[in-house]
Amino acid sequence: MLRVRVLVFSMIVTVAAGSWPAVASAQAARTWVSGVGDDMNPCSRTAPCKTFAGALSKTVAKGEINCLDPGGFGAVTITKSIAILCDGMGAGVLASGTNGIVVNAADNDKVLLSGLDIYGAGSGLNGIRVVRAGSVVIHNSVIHGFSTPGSRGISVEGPGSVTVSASTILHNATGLAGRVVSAGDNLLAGNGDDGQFAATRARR
Amino acid sequence: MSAPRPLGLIRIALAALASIVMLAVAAPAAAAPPNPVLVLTGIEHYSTGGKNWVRHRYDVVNKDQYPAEMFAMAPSLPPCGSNTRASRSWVDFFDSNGKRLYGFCALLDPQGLGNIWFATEEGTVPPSHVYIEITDRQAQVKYRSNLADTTM
Repeated sequence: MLRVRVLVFSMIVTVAAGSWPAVASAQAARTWVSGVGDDMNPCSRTAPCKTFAGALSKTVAKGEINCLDPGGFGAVTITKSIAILCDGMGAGVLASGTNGIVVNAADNDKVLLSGLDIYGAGSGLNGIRVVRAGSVVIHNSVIHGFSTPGSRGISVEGPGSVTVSASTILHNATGLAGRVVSAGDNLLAGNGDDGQFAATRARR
Repeated sequence: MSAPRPLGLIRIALAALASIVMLAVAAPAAAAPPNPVLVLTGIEHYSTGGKNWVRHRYDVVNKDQYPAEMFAMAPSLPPCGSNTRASRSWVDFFDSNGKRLYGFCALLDPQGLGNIWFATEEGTVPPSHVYIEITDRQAQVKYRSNLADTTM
């Protein structure tokens, strides 16, 4: 009788263990979004997703999300290492009444955001809000229109290194809040309170 | 069989002419309402019932082409739940797979089509595209819109 129980238990463990990789394998290292995509799709090059939030759930940690064409790809909360690269594509995130991109990841997670147009439409809370991360790099992006009192273009509220390069931060109630390092070529102007970069790092 | 008299022919011609004139001056038949053109107008965040929600607001940009009577109160038709003041036409949101998301059964005016919405819980990925159906319950006709975005 004991042998039967052990056999049944081991079968359950085997089945459970076998099903876990199947779930994990549904995520891709590189996914795609498109203005005419659909989050029901697998986010592949030929069947892209519609939003960053939809693509993020189908991208492995340390993976990459790319944009195929211009579009509004929606607000997203990032909880793992990821790169969102949409340079030259007109990748919009309209965040009326909410945060554009929230980074709330682990202490060793690395996030790269490049080529984004994050717009608060006068009512957004924060363009990019970093709650926690290992490092966050923001490159070649525009963060604007977070102009209600208390709103910020970039808000760093927890541990993590945040570096900005070649980006424009303007027309926000506050441009920068928290420790943000500039890697050069940034425009920080036209904000109610620009804030200031904690340091400027030379680009090598 | 005798040939028709000239006076009879004149009467027939006059009657035909009068018919043509009456048809020409009569009010043209009301054109059938078009399919709705649905456009996302905004997204707003709100809290209720201890949960945070995202409301997706839409406008039907050709709402002026719908006759007022299509949305008049229709107590002779089945009620909307316990609401006996439901309108003649109901409006329902669907995702692109045809799953119903939300509906309006008492707009009472075509202008109400300018402020229709559905909501999703914050943190969930909404359907990428939605459409509406206007169901004229009296005429038993459905009008289906285009697929509209859910993100801006």
